[in-house]
Amino acid sequence: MERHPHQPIICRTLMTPAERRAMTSAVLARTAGSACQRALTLVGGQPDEPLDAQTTALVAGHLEHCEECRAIERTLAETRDGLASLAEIEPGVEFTAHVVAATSGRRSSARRPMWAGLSQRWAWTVAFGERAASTWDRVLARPRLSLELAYLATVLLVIIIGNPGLVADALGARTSGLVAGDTASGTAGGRQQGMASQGIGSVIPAFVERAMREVERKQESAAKSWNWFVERTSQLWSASWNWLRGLFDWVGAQTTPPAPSAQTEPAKGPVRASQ
Amino acid sequence: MQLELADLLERCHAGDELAWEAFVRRFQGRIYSIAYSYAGNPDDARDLAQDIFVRLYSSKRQWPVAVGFVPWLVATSRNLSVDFLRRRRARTAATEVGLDAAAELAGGSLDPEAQVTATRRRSLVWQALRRLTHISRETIILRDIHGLSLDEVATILRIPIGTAKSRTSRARIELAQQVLSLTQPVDPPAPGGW
Repeated sequence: MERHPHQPIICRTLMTPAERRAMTSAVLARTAGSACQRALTLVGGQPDEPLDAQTTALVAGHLEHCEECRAIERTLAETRDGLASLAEIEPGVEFTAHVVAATSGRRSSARRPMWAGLSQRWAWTVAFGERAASTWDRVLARPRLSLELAYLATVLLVIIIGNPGLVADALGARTSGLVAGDTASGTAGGRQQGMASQGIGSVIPAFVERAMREVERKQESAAKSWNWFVERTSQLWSASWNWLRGLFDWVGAQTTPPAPSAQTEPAKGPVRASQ
Repeated sequence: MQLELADLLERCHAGDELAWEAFVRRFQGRIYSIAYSYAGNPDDARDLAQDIFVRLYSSKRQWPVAVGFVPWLVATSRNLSVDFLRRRRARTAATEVGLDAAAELAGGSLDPEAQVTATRRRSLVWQALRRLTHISRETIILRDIHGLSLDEVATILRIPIGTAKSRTSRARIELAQQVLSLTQPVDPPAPGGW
C-alpha cells in the first residue's frame, strides 16, 4: 500500500524506535551533546542529594530511552545494597585471641611502670631512659634509616679520618724535612724546603735563621698535637660506637615481646612497637 | 547482651582486660574490612588489622568519646592502612585480590543458597572495587561501605565537601560500570578468523 506523503500521522509511523533513538542522538550530537553524563551524575549523587520532582522525571525519561544508563542505574541500585554488607568481615575465629595475646605483653608495662617504687631522682633517670629508648625505637623504624646512617657515617669519616689525616701527614713530613735539613730523606717538599733553608742561611743574619727554626719547631709541635688529636678522636669514636652497640642490644632486649605460653598460640605476624 | 559503647570505652580506659577483649570482638569485623579494602589479600589484612588494634591499645588515652568514636576509628584505621600500603609499596608491588580469595571472606548468617548468592555478589563487588582508581575506591569505602557522612569523608581526605560529593557520585558510577563489565559475557571469537 502506498502511503500519502502529506499525512504526517502516517509519516511518524515510518520511523522505528531504533531510528527515533538514532535521530535523537544525531540531534544531540550536533547541539548540546549527550545527556548520559548529566543523568549518571544525578543518579550517582542521589543518595547524598535527593532530586526534585522535575529532575526525577527528566532522569526517568532519559533512563527509559537509554539502555546503557538504565543498566548502570540498575547495577548501581543492586551494588548499593551489597556495599553495606562489606562493612564488617569476620577475620577468623582466632583473630581475637591473637590480638589479645599481642597486647597482653604491653598491659603490664602500661599499668605499672618500671620506675615505680624508685626514688624520685632515679625514677626520672629511668623514665628518661625509657623515653630515649622509645624515641630510638621510632628512629629505627624509619624506612630510610640505613641510608641516613650511611650518609652520616661517610661524612664523619671524611671529616675525621680523611682530609685532616692527609693534612697532618703532609705537615709532619714537611716539618721533619725542615728541622733536620735532610735533603735525602723525606718528601719532595721537605727536600725543596731544606735546600731553600740552606740558601737563606748563607745570606740572612743569624737571628732570622733562629726565628725560622723557632717557627719550624712550633710547626712540628702543632703537627704532633694534631696527630694526637686525630688518634684520640678515633679512639673516642670507636669507644662511642661500642657503647652505642651495647645500647642497641639493650634496647632490642627490652622491646622483644615475651615468649608465648604453651596454651596460647603465637600472635600472627610482626607486632610493631607503639609510637 | 552488649555493653553501651561509652561504658565499654570507659572500662577499656580503666584497663579492664575483659572489656578490651569485648572491644576487639565488637570492632574486629569493621577494622578487618578496612584493612582488607586496602591490603587486598587476607593474610596482609589480618596482619594489618592486628597492627591497628595494637596501635589502638597503645593510644588508649587519645580515644575520643563514644559519640564520635566510630568515625574516628574508621579514620585511624584508614590512616594506618595507608601507611601500611606505603611501606609495602616500598618493598614490593601490590598484589591484586583474586576471586577465590575474595569469595573466601566469611559472610553473615544466611541460608546456604542466599549465602552463595551473597558471597558471589560480594566477591564481584570486591573485584570491581579493586579495579577502581585509588581515589574512587577510598571514597566508596568511606562513604558507602562504612557509612561516614560527606563531612567526615571530606575531613579524612582533606578535600572540600563539594569535591567529596562529586567524587562520591563519580565513584559510584565507575563502580557500577566495573560490575557491569565483570558480569557481561565475553564475546566469542569470530568463526574461521585468526
